[in-house]
Amino acid sequence: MSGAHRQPPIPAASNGLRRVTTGNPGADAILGGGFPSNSINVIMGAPGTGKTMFAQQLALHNADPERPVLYLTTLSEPLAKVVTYLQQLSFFDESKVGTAVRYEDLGAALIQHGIGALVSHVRDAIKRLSPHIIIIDSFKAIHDLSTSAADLRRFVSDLAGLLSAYDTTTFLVGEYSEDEISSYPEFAVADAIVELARRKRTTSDERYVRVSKLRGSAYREGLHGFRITAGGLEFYPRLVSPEFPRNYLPAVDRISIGIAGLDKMLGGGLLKGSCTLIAGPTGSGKTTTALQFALEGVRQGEPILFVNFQENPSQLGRAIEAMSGGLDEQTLQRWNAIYLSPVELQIDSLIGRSFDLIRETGIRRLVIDGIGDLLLAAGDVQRVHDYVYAFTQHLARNDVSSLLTFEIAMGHRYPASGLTEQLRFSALTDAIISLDIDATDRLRRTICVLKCRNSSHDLAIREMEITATGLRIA
Amino acid sequence: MSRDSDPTQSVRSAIVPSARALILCVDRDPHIRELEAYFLDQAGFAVHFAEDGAQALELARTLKPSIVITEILVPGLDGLALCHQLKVTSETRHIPVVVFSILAAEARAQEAGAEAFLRKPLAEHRLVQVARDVLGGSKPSATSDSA
Repeated sequence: MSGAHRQPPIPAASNGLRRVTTGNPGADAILGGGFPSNSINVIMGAPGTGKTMFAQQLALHNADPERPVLYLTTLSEPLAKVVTYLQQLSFFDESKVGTAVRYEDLGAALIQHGIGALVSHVRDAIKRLSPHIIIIDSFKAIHDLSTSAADLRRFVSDLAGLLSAYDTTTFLVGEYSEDEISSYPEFAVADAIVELARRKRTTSDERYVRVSKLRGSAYREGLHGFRITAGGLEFYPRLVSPEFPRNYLPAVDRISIGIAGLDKMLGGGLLKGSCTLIAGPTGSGKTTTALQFALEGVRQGEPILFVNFQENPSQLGRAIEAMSGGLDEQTLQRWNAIYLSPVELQIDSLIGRSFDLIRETGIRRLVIDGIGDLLLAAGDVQRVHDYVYAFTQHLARNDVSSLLTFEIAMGHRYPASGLTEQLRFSALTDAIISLDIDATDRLRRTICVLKCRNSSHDLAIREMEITATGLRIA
Repeated sequence: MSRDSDPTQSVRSAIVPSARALILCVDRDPHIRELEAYFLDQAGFAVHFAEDGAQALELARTLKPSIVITEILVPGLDGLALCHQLKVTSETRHIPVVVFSILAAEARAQEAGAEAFLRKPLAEHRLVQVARDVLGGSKPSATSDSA
């Protein structure tokens, strides 16, 4: 799947703009429904960021033999190279090439006749082909052939005039950097500017897209993650908090966390649709508590989603088997899992996949074990906070109860400083359960409920033990 | 004439008596003029251009075109005033007028007496269809918007 709508898309502008969709639901959601038709758009980014693949995907998606897509290559990549690599991608359809998508190489004409050759060629192509989309890749390469800034400005103005006069939507693809936006004339005539970028991380790179201009239309601001796959680009619109209807009332029903003693400490269990944080050091029982919460769900007939980054599916399977004594096939079918190695983890794609599962399988309980790995992946505390906040708001809106785990140092019992302070868990969650290990004479595990909204919860710090079947509270 | 031949020839020959229906186009945009000339010529029309509304009024009296296609935003007498003048002048009131504009002004075009309204950008199938419809006396099948 190539980036389906993970959350309700921004409604298209009410001014009746027709749209050119990208062939990518995620990208369309970011763009408020797609690019406005009859517009001139710049797709910018450093080499290797996915610009050409984005343009090719858009071209193949909009292929129409009656009014074809015209793909003009200039002086950057030879046409043969572009098409050779394009054939490796699953969205490529050879039968459309030459009919519904027309590739033409302008390199030689530009070298021989200068930049004016492009305007003549486009004018001629409009008459020959009636293209409803024109893509020029790379447009920035044209700059190298202009004789002066004034010459370039005249050329861009002339080309923009022609492209605006005719019923076609244009994409100018180029290796532009951000500081060129204010100086290059194509940005002044552009109706939309979409930037693809790559941010270096320790072990892998994170790709993101940003819309910095989109005339006459609402769009999702900010950075949105995307991945390059064999099926093309997959976009993950940045999560924003949902709108709650005026008559929205939080659920008052309670659900069991799956640990009898803890339900009692919480004042009768967790509120349905609430978000709970389990904080504690390694070995204190965070994952065990999370598994019990999930197991209780599947036993009650609820589909659940367990997201974790440390234990692979086999390890987790053994733990479930041991704790549950074996689940029947029907119950197991309600258990949905996402396992991602912290190295592979990209927060936007994880949220996107989770939303897909919630929509497709009617998830009622969700576990993220643990938030610290999200933090490592995103490398930005504020970003993780904003994501988790928006995500849990969506879950609450849909009565999905969630449980997050977060590792802290031993003996610090949920310190209100450092990362926990920065992540502002109190604002993110309805309940906070603190686990700890006391290591004075021997290891003793303890548990307490720091917070449980709208509940008269236990204030005691209680000893507990981890048994083969889970936590047992003294 | 093939699709790739020079469209400006038809413009130059527009004033020469021809069996082809003559369309008087009023537009200042060189790109629109060239594409209008080309696609209308391809569709079998002869095309002549006026630079502004006043010139168009004069040419309408002398050339007796089958259709006037005008942008609203033209110098001097604007496209809507031109339309109104054509409709109140006995020798030109029978000439169908198509307002073809960047402005979404269908209602104003109708008030001025235009037979049809087309919104830019130029889409040749809509332009040619409207020209054929008004020439044939039928209600234009494509009006108002570019949708």
